[in-house]
Amino acid sequence: MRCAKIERWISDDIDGALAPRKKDIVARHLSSCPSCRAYRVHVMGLQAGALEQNRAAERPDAYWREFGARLEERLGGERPFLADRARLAARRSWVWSGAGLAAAAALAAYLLVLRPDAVRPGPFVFSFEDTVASIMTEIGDDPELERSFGTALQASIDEAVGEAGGEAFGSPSGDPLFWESLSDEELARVESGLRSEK
Amino acid sequence: MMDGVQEEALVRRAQGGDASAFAELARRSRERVYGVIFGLVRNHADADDLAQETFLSAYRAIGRFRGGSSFYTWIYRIAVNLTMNHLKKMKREKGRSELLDTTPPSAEARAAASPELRSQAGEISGRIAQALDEIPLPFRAAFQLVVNQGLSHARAAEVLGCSENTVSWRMHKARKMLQARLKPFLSEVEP
Repeated sequence: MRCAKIERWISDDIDGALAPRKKDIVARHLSSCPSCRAYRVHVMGLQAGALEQNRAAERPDAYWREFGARLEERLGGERPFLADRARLAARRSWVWSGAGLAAAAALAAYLLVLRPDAVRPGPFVFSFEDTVASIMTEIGDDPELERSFGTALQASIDEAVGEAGGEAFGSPSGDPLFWESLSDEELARVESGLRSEK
Repeated sequence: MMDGVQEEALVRRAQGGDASAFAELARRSRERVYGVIFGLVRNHADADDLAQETFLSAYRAIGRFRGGSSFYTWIYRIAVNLTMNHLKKMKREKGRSELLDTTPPSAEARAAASPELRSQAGEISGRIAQALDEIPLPFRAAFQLVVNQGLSHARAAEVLGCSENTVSWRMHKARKMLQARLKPFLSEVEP
Protein backbone atom coordinates (compact mmCIF):
# COMPACT_ATOMS: atom_id res chain seq x y z
CA MET A 1 0.00 0.00 0.00
CA ARG A 2 1.41 3.40 -0.98
CA CYS A 3 2.13 5.83 1.85
CA ALA A 4 0.41 8.69 -0.03
CA LYS A 5 -2.89 6.82 0.06
CA ILE A 6 -2.41 5.91 3.73
CA GLU A 7 -1.80 9.60 4.57
CA ARG A 8 -5.13 10.49 2.97
CA TRP A 9 -6.83 7.73 4.94
CA ILE A 10 -5.16 8.94 8.15
CA SER A 11 -6.75 12.33 7.52
CA ASP A 12 -10.18 10.74 6.94
CA ASP A 13 -9.71 8.59 10.06
CA ILE A 14 -9.03 11.63 12.27
CA ASP A 15 -12.25 13.20 10.93
CA GLY A 16 -14.23 10.02 11.62
CA ALA A 17 -14.86 9.49 7.92
CA LEU A 18 -12.93 6.27 7.30
CA ALA A 19 -14.65 2.94 6.64
CA PRO A 20 -13.83 0.15 9.16
CA ARG A 21 -12.21 -1.99 6.48
CA LYS A 22 -9.81 0.84 5.62
CA LYS A 23 -9.13 1.44 9.30
CA ASP A 24 -7.73 -2.09 9.52
CA ILE A 25 -5.52 -1.49 6.49
CA VAL A 26 -4.23 1.76 8.02
CA ALA A 27 -3.52 0.01 11.35
CA ARG A 28 -1.58 -2.78 9.64
CA HIS A 29 0.38 -0.27 7.54
CA LEU A 30 1.25 1.89 10.55
CA SER A 31 2.65 -1.10 12.40
CA SER A 32 5.29 -1.50 9.72
CA CYS A 33 5.87 2.08 8.43
CA PRO A 34 7.75 4.53 10.72
CA SER A 35 7.29 7.37 8.23
CA CYS A 36 3.47 7.13 8.29
CA ARG A 37 3.54 6.72 12.07
CA ALA A 38 5.49 9.98 12.35
CA TYR A 39 3.05 11.68 9.95
CA ARG A 40 0.11 10.54 12.07
CA VAL A 41 1.78 11.93 15.21
CA HIS A 42 2.29 15.27 13.46
CA VAL A 43 -1.28 15.65 12.21
CA MET A 44 -2.69 14.61 15.58
CA GLY A 45 -0.56 17.37 17.10
CA LEU A 46 -1.96 19.78 14.54
CA GLN A 47 -5.46 18.69 15.46
CA ALA A 48 -4.91 19.36 19.16
CA GLY A 49 -3.23 22.71 18.48
CA ALA A 50 -6.00 23.81 16.12
CA LEU A 51 -8.66 22.98 18.70
CA GLU A 52 -6.90 25.19 21.22
CA GLN A 53 -7.61 28.10 18.88
CA ASN A 54 -11.32 27.81 19.60
CA ARG A 55 -10.58 29.54 22.89
CA ALA A 56 -9.51 32.62 20.95
CA ALA A 57 -13.04 32.89 19.54
CA GLU A 58 -14.68 32.81 22.98
CA ARG A 59 -16.42 36.01 24.09
CA PRO A 60 -17.75 36.99 27.51
CA ASP A 61 -21.49 36.84 28.31
CA ALA A 62 -21.71 40.64 28.29
CA TYR A 63 -20.57 40.67 24.68
CA TRP A 64 -23.31 38.21 23.67
CA ARG A 65 -25.99 40.24 25.45
CA GLU A 66 -24.88 43.35 23.58
CA PHE A 67 -24.60 41.38 20.32
CA GLY A 68 -28.16 40.08 20.70
CA ALA A 69 -29.58 43.51 21.58
CA ARG A 70 -27.84 45.12 18.62
CA LEU A 71 -29.06 42.40 16.27
CA GLU A 72 -32.67 42.65 17.45
CA GLU A 73 -32.58 46.40 16.94
CA ARG A 74 -31.29 45.94 13.39
CA LEU A 75 -33.86 43.21 12.68
CA GLY A 76 -36.59 45.70 13.54
CA GLY A 77 -35.53 47.86 10.61
CA GLU A 78 -35.49 44.98 8.17
CA ARG A 79 -38.27 43.73 5.94
CA PRO A 80 -37.78 39.97 5.61
CA PHE A 81 -38.63 38.04 2.50
CA LEU A 82 -41.40 36.01 4.10
CA ALA A 83 -42.59 32.57 3.15
CA ASP A 84 -45.89 33.76 1.65
CA ARG A 85 -44.03 36.33 -0.48
CA ALA A 86 -41.58 33.60 -1.50
CA ARG A 87 -44.49 31.39 -2.56
CA LEU A 88 -46.08 34.31 -4.43
CA ALA A 89 -42.78 35.05 -6.17
CA ALA A 90 -42.46 31.37 -7.10
CA ARG A 91 -46.04 31.41 -8.51
CA ARG A 92 -45.27 34.58 -10.44
CA SER A 93 -42.16 33.02 -11.88
CA TRP A 94 -44.28 30.04 -13.02
CA VAL A 95 -46.80 32.41 -14.61
CA TRP A 96 -44.06 34.28 -16.45
CA SER A 97 -42.43 31.01 -17.51
CA GLY A 98 -45.80 29.82 -18.85
CA ALA A 99 -46.34 33.08 -20.72
CA GLY A 100 -42.87 32.79 -22.24
CA LEU A 101 -43.49 29.22 -23.34
CA ALA A 102 -46.87 30.16 -24.87
CA ALA A 103 -45.28 33.03 -26.80
CA ALA A 104 -42.51 30.75 -28.09
CA ALA A 105 -45.09 28.13 -29.16
CA ALA A 106 -47.17 30.76 -30.98
CA LEU A 107 -44.11 32.05 -32.85
CA ALA A 108 -43.10 28.51 -33.82
CA ALA A 109 -46.64 27.77 -35.07
CA TYR A 110 -46.65 30.97 -37.15
CA LEU A 111 -43.29 30.19 -38.73
CA LEU A 112 -44.00 26.54 -39.46
CA VAL A 113 -47.76 26.39 -40.24
CA LEU A 114 -49.49 29.72 -40.55
CA ARG A 115 -46.82 31.64 -42.42
CA PRO A 116 -48.21 33.34 -45.60
CA ASP A 117 -47.43 31.64 -48.90
CA ALA A 118 -45.45 34.66 -50.04
CA VAL A 119 -42.72 33.90 -47.54
CA ARG A 120 -43.02 30.11 -47.62
CA PRO A 121 -40.41 28.51 -49.91
CA GLY A 122 -41.83 26.57 -52.90
CA PRO A 123 -40.55 23.21 -54.10
CA PHE A 124 -36.97 23.29 -55.35
CA VAL A 125 -36.61 23.23 -59.15
CA PHE A 126 -33.14 23.16 -60.66
CA SER A 127 -32.46 25.86 -63.22
CA PHE A 128 -29.19 26.13 -65.07
CA GLU A 129 -29.74 29.81 -65.75
CA ASP A 130 -30.50 30.59 -62.10
CA THR A 131 -27.49 28.62 -60.99
CA VAL A 132 -25.16 30.47 -63.37
CA ALA A 133 -26.78 33.79 -62.45
CA SER A 134 -26.18 33.17 -58.76
CA ILE A 135 -22.58 32.20 -59.49
CA MET A 136 -22.08 35.35 -61.57
CA THR A 137 -23.60 37.44 -58.79
CA GLU A 138 -21.18 35.83 -56.39
CA ILE A 139 -18.25 36.53 -58.71
CA GLY A 140 -19.30 40.14 -59.19
CA ASP A 141 -16.31 42.30 -60.24
CA ASP A 142 -13.70 39.99 -58.80
CA PRO A 143 -11.41 39.02 -61.72
CA GLU A 144 -9.67 36.33 -59.72
CA LEU A 145 -12.95 34.58 -58.93
CA GLU A 146 -14.02 34.93 -62.54
CA ARG A 147 -10.76 33.35 -63.70
CA SER A 148 -11.11 30.50 -61.19
CA PHE A 149 -14.68 29.86 -62.24
CA GLY A 150 -13.71 29.90 -65.94
CA THR A 151 -10.84 27.47 -65.29
CA ALA A 152 -13.12 25.13 -63.30
CA LEU A 153 -15.81 25.31 -65.98
CA GLN A 154 -13.33 24.59 -68.75
CA ALA A 155 -11.88 21.65 -66.80
CA SER A 156 -15.39 20.31 -66.31
CA ILE A 157 -16.16 20.63 -70.05
CA ASP A 158 -12.85 18.99 -70.96
CA GLU A 159 -13.59 16.13 -68.61
CA ALA A 160 -17.08 15.64 -70.07
CA VAL A 161 -15.72 15.75 -73.63
CA GLY A 162 -13.01 13.28 -72.72
CA GLU A 163 -15.56 10.83 -71.29
CA ALA A 164 -17.72 11.10 -74.43
CA GLY A 165 -14.75 10.41 -76.71
CA GLY A 166 -15.01 13.87 -78.23
CA GLU A 167 -17.71 12.76 -80.68
CA ALA A 168 -20.84 14.25 -79.23
CA PHE A 169 -19.28 17.68 -78.78
CA GLY A 170 -16.92 17.50 -81.73
CA SER A 171 -19.43 18.73 -84.25
CA PRO A 172 -22.60 20.26 -82.92
CA SER A 173 -23.77 20.80 -86.45
CA GLY A 174 -24.28 17.06 -86.75
CA ASP A 175 -26.92 17.19 -84.04
CA PRO A 176 -30.36 18.10 -85.53
CA LEU A 177 -31.48 19.37 -82.16
CA PHE A 178 -28.66 21.93 -82.30
CA TRP A 179 -30.16 23.57 -85.39
CA GLU A 180 -33.66 23.26 -84.01
CA SER A 181 -32.71 25.24 -80.93
CA LEU A 182 -31.35 28.24 -82.86
CA SER A 183 -33.50 31.31 -83.36
CA ASP A 184 -34.07 32.90 -86.79
CA GLU A 185 -31.66 35.65 -85.95
CA GLU A 186 -28.94 33.16 -84.97
CA LEU A 187 -29.56 31.14 -88.12
CA ALA A 188 -29.21 34.32 -90.17
CA ARG A 189 -25.91 35.07 -88.49
CA VAL A 190 -24.62 31.54 -89.18
CA GLU A 191 -25.70 31.86 -92.78
CA SER A 192 -23.94 35.20 -93.27
CA GLY A 193 -20.82 33.76 -91.64
CA LEU A 194 -20.79 30.83 -94.02
CA ARG A 195 -21.25 33.15 -96.98
CA SER A 196 -18.33 35.35 -95.91
CA GLU A 197 -16.06 32.25 -95.52
CA LYS A 198 -16.82 31.38 -99.13
CA MET B 1 -38.88 31.65 27.14
CA MET B 2 -38.49 29.84 23.81
CA ASP B 3 -35.94 27.31 25.05
CA GLY B 4 -38.25 24.35 24.52
CA VAL B 5 -39.41 25.33 21.05
CA GLN B 6 -38.10 23.12 18.28
CA GLU B 7 -35.90 24.59 15.56
CA GLU B 8 -38.43 23.74 12.84
CA ALA B 9 -41.22 25.55 14.64
CA LEU B 10 -39.04 28.62 15.13
CA VAL B 11 -38.11 28.61 11.44
CA ARG B 12 -41.80 28.43 10.45
CA ARG B 13 -42.65 31.29 12.78
CA ALA B 14 -39.75 33.38 11.49
CA GLN B 15 -40.89 32.67 7.92
CA GLY B 16 -44.28 34.05 8.90
CA GLY B 17 -42.72 37.34 10.03
CA ASP B 18 -42.05 36.63 13.75
CA ALA B 19 -38.79 38.52 14.41
CA SER B 20 -38.55 37.20 17.98
CA ALA B 21 -38.52 33.62 16.66
CA PHE B 22 -35.66 34.54 14.37
CA ALA B 23 -33.86 36.25 17.26
CA GLU B 24 -34.13 32.99 19.20
CA LEU B 25 -32.66 31.03 16.28
CA ALA B 26 -29.83 33.58 16.16
CA ARG B 27 -29.28 33.27 19.92
CA ARG B 28 -28.93 29.49 19.60
CA SER B 29 -26.46 29.60 16.74
CA ARG B 30 -24.53 32.84 17.23
CA GLU B 31 -21.51 31.38 19.05
CA ARG B 32 -20.97 28.69 16.45
CA VAL B 33 -21.46 31.16 13.61
CA TYR B 34 -19.09 33.61 15.26
CA GLY B 35 -16.56 30.81 15.83
CA VAL B 36 -16.39 29.78 12.21
CA ILE B 37 -16.13 33.41 11.05
CA PHE B 38 -13.44 34.22 13.61
CA GLY B 39 -11.51 31.12 12.59
CA LEU B 40 -11.27 32.57 9.09
CA VAL B 41 -10.74 36.29 9.74
CA ARG B 42 -8.91 36.05 13.11
CA ASN B 43 -9.95 39.39 14.45
CA HIS B 44 -12.94 40.20 16.62
CA ALA B 45 -13.96 43.44 14.92
CA ASP B 46 -14.42 41.80 11.52
CA ALA B 47 -15.95 38.67 13.07
CA ASP B 48 -18.52 40.83 14.87
CA ASP B 49 -19.48 42.73 11.70
CA LEU B 50 -19.69 39.57 9.62
CA ALA B 51 -21.70 37.69 12.24
CA GLN B 52 -24.25 40.53 12.41
CA GLU B 53 -24.38 40.67 8.62
CA THR B 54 -24.84 36.89 8.46
CA PHE B 55 -27.94 37.03 10.64
CA LEU B 56 -29.36 40.05 8.84
CA SER B 57 -28.86 38.35 5.46
CA ALA B 58 -30.48 35.19 6.79
CA TYR B 59 -33.44 37.16 8.16
CA ARG B 60 -33.96 38.93 4.83
CA ALA B 61 -33.95 35.58 3.01
CA ILE B 62 -35.72 33.42 5.62
CA GLY B 63 -38.74 32.96 3.31
CA ARG B 64 -36.51 31.21 0.81
CA PHE B 65 -35.21 28.65 3.33
CA ARG B 66 -36.92 25.42 2.31
CA GLY B 67 -35.65 23.14 5.05
CA GLY B 68 -33.66 20.88 2.72
CA SER B 69 -30.85 21.11 5.27
CA SER B 70 -30.86 22.12 8.93
CA PHE B 71 -31.12 25.80 9.81
CA TYR B 72 -27.56 25.62 11.20
CA THR B 73 -26.17 24.28 7.93
CA TRP B 74 -27.98 27.04 6.06
CA ILE B 75 -26.71 29.80 8.35
CA TYR B 76 -23.18 28.35 8.28
CA ARG B 77 -23.31 28.52 4.50
CA ILE B 78 -24.29 32.18 4.59
CA ALA B 79 -21.55 32.90 7.14
CA VAL B 80 -18.84 31.11 5.17
CA ASN B 81 -19.86 32.72 1.88
CA LEU B 82 -19.96 36.22 3.38
CA THR B 83 -16.61 35.69 5.10
CA MET B 84 -14.91 34.28 2.04
CA ASN B 85 -16.21 37.15 -0.08
CA HIS B 86 -14.98 39.59 2.57
CA LEU B 87 -11.51 38.01 2.61
CA LYS B 88 -11.30 37.98 -1.18
CA LYS B 89 -12.32 41.64 -1.27
CA MET B 90 -9.74 42.52 1.40
CA LYS B 91 -7.07 40.65 -0.50
CA ARG B 92 -7.96 42.45 -3.72
CA GLU B 93 -8.05 45.87 -2.10
CA LYS B 94 -5.04 45.80 0.12
CA GLY B 95 -2.92 42.85 -0.90
CA ARG B 96 -2.08 40.02 1.40
CA SER B 97 1.12 41.40 2.90
CA GLU B 98 -0.34 44.82 3.61
CA LEU B 99 -3.36 43.20 5.24
CA LEU B 100 -1.13 41.25 7.60
CA ASP B 101 0.95 44.32 8.38
CA THR B 102 -1.97 46.62 9.18
CA THR B 103 -4.21 44.20 11.07
CA PRO B 104 -2.37 41.66 13.18
CA PRO B 105 -5.11 39.05 13.56
CA SER B 106 -2.84 36.19 14.40
CA ALA B 107 -1.25 38.16 17.23
CA GLU B 108 -4.66 38.61 18.82
CA ALA B 109 -5.49 34.97 18.36
CA ARG B 110 -2.16 33.90 19.76
CA ALA B 111 -2.45 36.22 22.73
CA ALA B 112 -5.87 34.86 23.55
CA ALA B 113 -4.99 31.26 22.96
CA SER B 114 -1.55 30.53 24.23
CA PRO B 115 -0.30 32.26 27.39
CA GLU B 116 -2.04 30.13 29.97
CA LEU B 117 -1.90 26.94 28.05
CA ARG B 118 0.57 24.49 29.37
CA SER B 119 0.15 21.69 26.86
CA GLN B 120 2.54 21.31 23.96
CA ALA B 121 -0.42 21.57 21.58
CA GLY B 122 -1.25 24.94 23.09
CA GLU B 123 2.28 26.16 22.57
CA ILE B 124 2.09 25.65 18.84
CA SER B 125 -1.47 26.98 18.54
CA GLY B 126 -0.29 30.45 17.53
CA ARG B 127 2.01 28.98 14.92
CA ILE B 128 -0.89 26.93 13.57
CA ALA B 129 -3.00 30.09 13.32
CA GLN B 130 -0.26 31.78 11.34
CA ALA B 131 0.24 28.74 9.10
CA LEU B 132 -3.52 28.50 8.51
CA ASP B 133 -3.51 32.09 7.28
CA GLU B 134 -1.03 31.06 4.62
CA ILE B 135 -2.98 28.18 3.07
CA PRO B 136 -5.58 28.78 0.33
CA LEU B 137 -9.02 29.87 1.49
CA PRO B 138 -11.04 26.79 0.38
CA PHE B 139 -8.69 24.52 2.35
CA ARG B 140 -8.78 26.83 5.36
CA ALA B 141 -12.60 26.92 5.31
CA ALA B 142 -12.83 23.12 5.19
CA PHE B 143 -10.31 22.84 8.04
CA GLN B 144 -12.23 25.33 10.17
CA LEU B 145 -15.56 23.60 9.66
CA VAL B 146 -14.31 20.07 10.25
CA VAL B 147 -11.68 20.56 12.95
CA ASN B 148 -12.82 23.63 14.83
CA GLN B 149 -16.58 23.28 14.38
CA GLY B 150 -16.63 19.50 14.44
CA LEU B 151 -18.72 19.13 11.28
CA SER B 152 -18.72 15.82 9.44
CA HIS B 153 -17.41 15.77 5.89
CA ALA B 154 -21.01 15.49 4.68
CA ARG B 155 -22.21 18.61 6.51
CA ALA B 156 -19.08 20.57 5.61
CA ALA B 157 -19.75 19.62 1.99
CA GLU B 158 -23.29 21.03 2.27
CA VAL B 159 -21.96 24.27 3.73
CA LEU B 160 -19.21 24.66 1.16
CA GLY B 161 -21.38 23.54 -1.76
CA CYS B 162 -19.05 20.73 -2.84
CA SER B 163 -18.86 16.94 -2.59
CA GLU B 164 -17.77 14.94 0.47
CA ASN B 165 -14.84 13.67 -1.53
CA THR B 166 -13.73 17.26 -2.15
CA VAL B 167 -13.90 17.98 1.58
CA SER B 168 -11.87 14.84 2.30
CA TRP B 169 -9.28 15.94 -0.27
CA ARG B 170 -9.13 19.51 1.06
CA MET B 171 -8.69 18.25 4.62
CA HIS B 172 -5.86 15.96 3.55
CA LYS B 173 -4.15 18.73 1.57
CA ALA B 174 -4.67 21.28 4.38
CA ARG B 175 -3.01 18.89 6.83
CA LYS B 176 -0.14 18.26 4.41
CA MET B 177 0.38 22.01 3.91
CA LEU B 178 0.23 22.73 7.62
CA GLN B 179 2.52 19.83 8.42
CA ALA B 180 5.07 21.03 5.86
CA ARG B 181 5.06 24.51 7.42
CA LEU B 182 5.13 23.34 11.03
CA LYS B 183 7.29 20.23 10.83
CA PRO B 184 10.06 21.52 13.15
CA PHE B 185 7.53 22.34 15.87
CA LEU B 186 5.34 19.28 15.38
CA SER B 187 8.34 16.99 15.85
CA GLU B 188 8.33 17.95 19.51
CA VAL B 189 4.64 17.22 20.01
CA GLU B 190 3.46 13.94 21.41
CA PRO B 191 0.01 12.72 20.34
